[in-house]
Order: sequence, then structure tokens, then C-alpha cells
Amino acid sequence: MVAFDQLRDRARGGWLALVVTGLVMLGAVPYYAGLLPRESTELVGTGGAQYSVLVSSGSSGLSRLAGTNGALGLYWLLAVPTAYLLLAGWFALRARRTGLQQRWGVYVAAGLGLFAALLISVLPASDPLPYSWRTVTTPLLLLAATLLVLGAVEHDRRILILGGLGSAVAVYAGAAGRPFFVVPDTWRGEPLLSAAISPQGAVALLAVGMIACGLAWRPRR
Amino acid sequence: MPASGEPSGAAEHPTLRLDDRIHHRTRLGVLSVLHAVHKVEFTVLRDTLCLTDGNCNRHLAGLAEAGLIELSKSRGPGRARTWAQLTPAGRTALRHEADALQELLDHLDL
Repeated sequence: MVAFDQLRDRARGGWLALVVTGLVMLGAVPYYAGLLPRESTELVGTGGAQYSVLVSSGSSGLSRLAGTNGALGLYWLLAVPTAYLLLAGWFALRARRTGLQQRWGVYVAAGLGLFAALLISVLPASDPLPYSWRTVTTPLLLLAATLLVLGAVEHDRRILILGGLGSAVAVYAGAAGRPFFVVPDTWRGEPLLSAAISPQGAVALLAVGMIACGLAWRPRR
Repeated sequence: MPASGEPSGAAEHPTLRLDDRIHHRTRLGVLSVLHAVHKVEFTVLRDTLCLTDGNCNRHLAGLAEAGLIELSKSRGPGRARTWAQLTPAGRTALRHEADALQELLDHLDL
């Protein structure tokens, strides 16, 4: 079985997709900071405990971003197809060099297809899609979904798990009109912890995790 | 126990389900490699299975004729390359072969 493992190892290229996806997400983090400002803070007593509830007025869905943060929208519109096209080229070159080819076309086609769906979410408010759908169709969801496809193509459970985690972070960061998180009083005054559980913090953590996993899983020569 | 030579009426012996088209060391090797990786170039197959060019060519042609693999050529800088990939029929045949071998191993009291 060692020969099969070596063959599969040599054929694997998903590690670079993880690194590139992580870098693209990391590049977006500064744009998310301050995008969802705290508009109101309420103290909610529950069983005697006091909490702060941070309420956002909107979401990071691309439909909203197009109106309120053009720079972030432009970043995604340029970064995502550029990243996928570069990956497609790298996969093709790598297949020629190693003589081994996985079904990268499925992965790239899925990514570009989902990107087209994301563009649809930029439609004006009069479009038939319900608001709740449009708020979670963020580029993060796109990246998470393509990770799931990549995991299926490579038969790699680790990438599937990362895709699942990414989907959860994407939905969390894209939710709109609901409290993003409840911060117990004991956490107030803990800036690092608060930053970690903010949407941009979650995206940054996931992005760094993906880059680290990608570098750890790259095939040995 | 049925007398020798008489049909037993019970399930057939697993070796009867082995596929002559692929029950060969090289052909089984080719199909198993193609099962692990979507598309493999001719030289990688040849080197992985320690074959000569002629031997590898012959078996690939036989498998392609049986509809179990698909051969394609790509052109680019340098020489033309031959790529092989499993067809759905090949995937099914390999699975049946593996099932028959597994059943045979289960029956052997080794």
C-alpha cells in the first residue's frame, strides 16, 4: 500500500488551494474591520447575569457590500476569479510535470460557477431572492463551498472538515439583522478575546488555520 | 456434500467471477493505479509497474479495446503525451474483481 500512498501523495495539489484560499480570505480581513459597526449596545439580564448584546444593522453579503463598501466588493470580484484561474493554471502545469492529474476541472468549474451565483446576489433589492438568502451569500461561503468540492475531488476528509468549518464561519459572518454575539460581562475588557470572536477575527483565524494546514499537508518530495 | 462433478446448486465459486480481461498482474496493476489517480501519464504507469514501453502499450491497448480505460493524447511543449483514465465500466469491473478476490480470500483458511 505504500506505492498507492506515494502516488496519491504526489497527485495531491489541494494544499496550494488551501494556502491560496487562506491568503485571499486573509487579504479581505482588513476590509471587514469596521464594516459592521456596533450600532447599539443593550444590557440583557438573564437569570441575574448581565450581558452586552452587539447588534449589527446589516451583513457582509455582497449585495450590501456593493452599496456600503465598494472596496471590499471590488476586492472579492477581482481576487476570487484571479485566484481560481491561477490555481487552474498551476494544476495544469503540475499535471504535465508529474504525469498525475486529479479532477481539478470540477473544482475550478465549481468555484467559478459559485462566483457567478455570488454575482447574482448583487442584484438590486427588487430581485426575487429573499433577503435572508442574499445576506449569507458572501464570498466566504463561496470559498467554503469550493473547499467542500475540493475535499470531494481529492477524497480528503481533512479538507472537507475545513470546508465545513468555513461554511459555519461564513454563515456567522454573513448573518444580518440579528445579534452577532453575546459578550458576557466577564469578557468585557478582554480585547483579544473579543477580537477573536468577531466576524473578522473568525475569518482571520480560519484563514491562518487553512494556510498552516496547507503548508503542513503539501506532498513530500 | 454433492458428488464430484455434479453441480452443487449452491453459490458459484468466487474464481468464476474473476474477469479474464483484467485478471492479469499488469492489467490489475494498471486499473488499480488509475483508480487511485484520475488520469495518469503513460511513463508514470510504465515506471510504477516496472514495464517496458511495448508491454505497457500492449496492455493499455487491450484495456482500451475492452472499454475499461480511455486513452487520450495531449500536445504541448515537447513530446506528445498519452494519458489513461478509468471508464465507468472499468471502475465497475475493478470493483467486481476486488469483490471476487476478497470472497476467495475469505474462503481460504490460510
